[in-house]
Order: sequence, then C-alpha cells, then structure tokens
Amino acid sequence: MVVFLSYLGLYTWNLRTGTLDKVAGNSALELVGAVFKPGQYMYDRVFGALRRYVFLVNVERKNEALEAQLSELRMALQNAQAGERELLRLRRLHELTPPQEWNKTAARVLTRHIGPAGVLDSLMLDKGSATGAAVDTAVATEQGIVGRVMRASAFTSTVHLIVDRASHISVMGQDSRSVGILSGNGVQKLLSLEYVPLNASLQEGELLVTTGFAGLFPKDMPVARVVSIERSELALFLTVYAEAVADLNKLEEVLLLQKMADGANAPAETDAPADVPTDKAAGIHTGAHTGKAADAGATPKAKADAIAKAKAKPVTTRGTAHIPNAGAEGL
Amino acid sequence: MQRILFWLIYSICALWGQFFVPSADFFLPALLLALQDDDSVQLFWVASIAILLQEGMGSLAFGSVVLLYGTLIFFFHIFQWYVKIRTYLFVLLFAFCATLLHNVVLVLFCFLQDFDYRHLLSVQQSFLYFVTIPLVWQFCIFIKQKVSAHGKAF
Repeated sequence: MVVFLSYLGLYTWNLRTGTLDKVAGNSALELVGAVFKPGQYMYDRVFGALRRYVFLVNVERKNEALEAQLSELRMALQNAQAGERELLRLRRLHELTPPQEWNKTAARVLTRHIGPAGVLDSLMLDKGSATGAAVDTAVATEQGIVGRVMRASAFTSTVHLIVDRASHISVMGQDSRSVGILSGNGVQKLLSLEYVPLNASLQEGELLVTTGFAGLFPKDMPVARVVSIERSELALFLTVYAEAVADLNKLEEVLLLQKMADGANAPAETDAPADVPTDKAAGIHTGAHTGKAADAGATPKAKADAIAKAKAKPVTTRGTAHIPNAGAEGL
Repeated sequence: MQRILFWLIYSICALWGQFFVPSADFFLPALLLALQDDDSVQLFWVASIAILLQEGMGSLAFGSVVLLYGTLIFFFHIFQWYVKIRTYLFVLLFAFCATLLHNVVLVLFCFLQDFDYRHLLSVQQSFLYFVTIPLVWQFCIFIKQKVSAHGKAF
C-alpha cells in the first residue's frame, strides 16, 4: 500500500513538474540516439553507394526531367522574389511590422516511434536542444509542416507528427482564410478540420496553411489539402477532411524551423540611423507585435518624416521560412 | 565484467530489435532473466536502465513502464510459489500476464493523459508483444549456456 501511494505521489509530482520526464528524456534519448546514429551512418554508406553506382538505369532521363523542373522553379522563384520585394515596400508604406523570421536547420530521421510506451505517432531526429531542436520547434519538409518537437535531449529529439490523434494545429484556407483546428486521426488516415463555420467559403482542393497564431509555426506554411466537405443541417460546423501535403511515410530528412531572436526582426529597424525617430519614440502604431496602438501620440509631420526616411533606406531582404513560396502556390 | 558486457550488448540489440518491431518490448526478457538469476543488485540495475530507456523513448508521462515492470516483479514473486521459474510454462505465463498488463497500463495512462487509445488495442500488436518475450528469453538462455559450456563463468 505504501509503495502504491508512493508511486501515485511520484506520478502526480512528475505530471506537475515534468522533472522525471526531462531526466528520462535527456538520458534515454541520448543513449538511443548514440545506438541508432552509427547504424544510420553505416546504412547510408553501404546502401547509398549501392544506389549511386549500381542503379544507374534512367539516370539520364531523370536528370533531364529534373533540369526542366529546375528551370521552371527558377522562373517561379524570380517572380516570387519580385513579389516579396513589392510586399516589403508596401509593408513599409503602411507601417506594418514585418513578420518574425525563422532559421532553418536540417535534421535526419533516425526512427519512428519505438518501445511499448510509444503511443503517439512520432519521429526521432538526430538533432537535439543543443543543435537546433528545442521543445516546440516546428518541423517541416519542403512540402509542408510535419509536426513539432515534443521531447529533446542535447543531441536527439522526438517529433510529434500532425497525423497523430493528439495533434491539433490552427490552420486556415489559403484562399478563403477560414480558420479551423486541424486534428490527426492516425497514420494512413485523413486529417479532420474542426470548428469551421457552416457559412465558410472553404472549397475542396483548397490548401490549408498555418495561421501562426500560437507562434509555434511560421504563418502561411502549407499543412494539408482539403479532400472533402460535408454540410449538415444538424451540425454547427462543417465536416471537413484533409490530406497532409508532406509525405509522412517516406521521411528521411526534415527541416527544423526556429524563430530568430527579436532583435533580428525587420531589416529597416536595424538599418535606420540614430536621428530617425523609432516607432516607439514617435508613438507610431507598430502593429500586432506590440499590441499597442500609439497613433494618438504621433503628429502628422513626424509620421511623414519617418515614412520618407524609411523609403530612402535601401531594402535588404533576408531569407524567410516561407520555403514554400513554391509550395504555397503550387501544392 | 562479463555480465556488464552481456547486458551492454543485450541493450544495444534490444534497441535495434525495437527499431524493427516497434510494438514489442525487448527489455522485458531482460527483466525476467534478472529475476530468475535471483541477484538483487543485477535486478536493480537491469530494471533501472530498462525503465529509463523505455520511459525516455516513449511518449507517455513517466510512470507507465514503472507500473508495468513493478507489477510484473510482484507477479513473479507470487507465481514462483506455484510454478518453477526456469520452465517454459512459467515464461509463457509471465509473457501472457505481461501482455495483458501492458494493454491495461496503456489504456489507463492514455485515459489519464487524454490520448486516444482505441488504435493501441490491436491483436497483432499484442501477439507480437507476447511472442517476443519467450523467444528472446530462450535465445539469451542459449547464449548463456554456450558461454558456460566454454568454461567461462556467467
């Protein structure tokens, strides 16, 4: 009885503090990673050589197809970059705070969920909190969102996939901008989009992208594509099913998306000279980031001066995590 | 030293075994072997490392594997009064109880953490879980006997 009560106390304490989870996660993930990483390395060396030097059939044909695809993507990229520059100019004009930018780090998948306690659909990566995969880091591929980091030791981490039943992500239609919660139903099953109002203009085939509300995922990253929509007179919401855009069955490498530090946000803020009044000093509205509308304190002349000086500064663009500029349009 | 080496190699093989058969528990035969050896120090270390690895690899809150292994250790001490512990019958009985208890613990902890557990109650997964225990146990006994036959104390 004493043992059982002690166990209950320990379990409850761990649920509140997470201490034992951290200890077990940090130690076990490192040990498991240390066992699997050499195996993955050997597998890549042996079978990679086999793939590269033995299976040469259709290599030339594949090369030609890929070169053609590359040319098309280059043109699409140029158009997208021109669009991005225009967007930055318009943002400055309207004094909108640019979105926070994200760092990208590649990671290799070691294994899927293992062990008798691995009840969630997850992956194990060869990066940990010391190498870019802190807890709650967004994980994606070039196609779209895959999940987020659930547990992390120093050099190994576990990712919670979006198809798992316990996964819920805030998304919206790319065209209709109808917001909903995307929930998983298990591997090989369609995702459910919940809480979409009956009068939403969501369409079948529409791409669902992240809203970025909680700050865990970059905004406008593709997540899934709507497969079916059912309207019922009895239900309060639409019944929507979607399919993940990322191929979760063939994941070998993923991208870890980390927010850059707040100081590395908008290029104009760092490039502005000292005599230009800052947004806060002039009391100019800085948008949703600060949540403070300080328009009442800004004089029209100060505003006009700030706009003119900001326009005079050269625009420097940085790579964003909108990997899927191609993905957002074409998927 | 040989024991440490044996358990080290066993742990590595068990992790790779769980890589290829995710729903099986390759550390449970280790617990059974340690119980049968009747060495409390060995049992403590084997159980601790197995619990740490399984809890760390898993996605449930810490405690599910502790409850499972703790209850099985308790069952072992009850069953040994009725069945000889080094017989195949005992191992099968142990495996059956482990499989049953594993499902109960999973459902309980998923319920506590508000996870869906319906997909976990699968006959195929339970069968793999049940079959792994006596097979791995038998293989380890075979290795131990081979090592003993070459004159090295184990």
